[in-house]
Amino acid sequence: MWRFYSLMIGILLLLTGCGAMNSGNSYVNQLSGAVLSPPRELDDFTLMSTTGEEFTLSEHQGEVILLFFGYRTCPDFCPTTMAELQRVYSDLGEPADRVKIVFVTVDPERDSLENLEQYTSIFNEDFIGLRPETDDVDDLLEQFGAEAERRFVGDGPLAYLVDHTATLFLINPQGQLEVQYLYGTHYSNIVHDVSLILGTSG
Amino acid sequence: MKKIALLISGILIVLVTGFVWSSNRLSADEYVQIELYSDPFPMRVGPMELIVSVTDSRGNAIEGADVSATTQLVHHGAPPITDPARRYENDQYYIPIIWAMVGQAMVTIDVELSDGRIFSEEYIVFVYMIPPDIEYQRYISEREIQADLDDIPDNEYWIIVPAGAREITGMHMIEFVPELINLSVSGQNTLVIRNDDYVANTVGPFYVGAGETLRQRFDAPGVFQGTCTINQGVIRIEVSE
Repeated sequence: MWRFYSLMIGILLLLTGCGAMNSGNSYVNQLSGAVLSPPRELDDFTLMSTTGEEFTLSEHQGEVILLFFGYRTCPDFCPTTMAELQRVYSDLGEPADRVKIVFVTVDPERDSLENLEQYTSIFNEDFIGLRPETDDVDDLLEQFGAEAERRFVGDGPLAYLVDHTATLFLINPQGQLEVQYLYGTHYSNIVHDVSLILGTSG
Repeated sequence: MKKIALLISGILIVLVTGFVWSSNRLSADEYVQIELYSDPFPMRVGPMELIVSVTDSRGNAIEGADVSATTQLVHHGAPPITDPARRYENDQYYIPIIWAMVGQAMVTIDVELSDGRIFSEEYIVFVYMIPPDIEYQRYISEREIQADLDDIPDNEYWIIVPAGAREITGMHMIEFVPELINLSVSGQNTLVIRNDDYVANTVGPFYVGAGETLRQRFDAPGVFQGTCTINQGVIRIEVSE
């Protein structure tokens, strides 16, 4: 008789499982950011990082990556976003172990790995700075739909600003770009989404 | 114990019946499925073939139908031209046509079955001179688009960017995206941008890849703006309380 029950329960689980699969990711409708459907597949990339090792996207499956394009001498969007990301990171608590905060410079000519490391560690020592080669910046930006353009304002080492996309990108544990946050998004919304995604993905 | 067995059996019967019913239920619209493809894909100026698949509700190909295509460029005042299918191969009907100009076009596929019933499907397509390099796919019919629009919840504001939108707005003053979008936290609070174009587009502050749908719920008032690759201007999103 127990074989009969096991069979019945198995069929029940299978049927309810089919329903769950049809509905897609269960968390999608609860996210606060701008959600992409389907999530965008990203080309794998490897960049030198401030940890002293290479950072390869595909090696971070199972983690949430919050990625921001900017530059060290940015006067506004970058420091405010990094400060918000520090709040996100500290509010996440334990799940932060499965989160990488990544700052990718769009100004590799002025941002060496050494001064990127100084910059990111101001906000949090766990934050990672990435430095693409100058020729690789555009390709990297393109797959995120981001842009960066120099604007000359004077002479000397700070002769130019870089106008750049100020959107924060969330890469899900499957390595896909799934959520974007407009500049100014409250940090609690990002904490909410990251917790939801990590909680759902187990 | 018998009661538990009966209960589980009852639930199973209900679930299995419902599952089978939902898999097989039919409606008039679903009786015949018409799908449109083209070779080359997407459509471009010059001679080419429309490829039409006609299937019944179970996905079985229907042979022996009279299939024709009526094509008309939308913005040029050109008359509609009707061409019949010339051959049937691999469960598909092939209709040779010629596009004379670049632009947005209407394609109507008419299918008359051997029992005399007639089915029709309309498509708005874009005819390129130099098409973007994209994966082969079927065209989305106007009925499908309308069905999606009919299902929109009250709190959502939808923008559907049609195929070729960026090219079209370079040629004609057509506003696919309004310059000002008004939303409210307590009412219409979610912006959905579905990009049916074959290239990525930027709509205000959002970049949406080809074939992607972006959904942003606004939980707080604010103003967001950015340029638009379709309207070639600035899109402003105002979110009130």
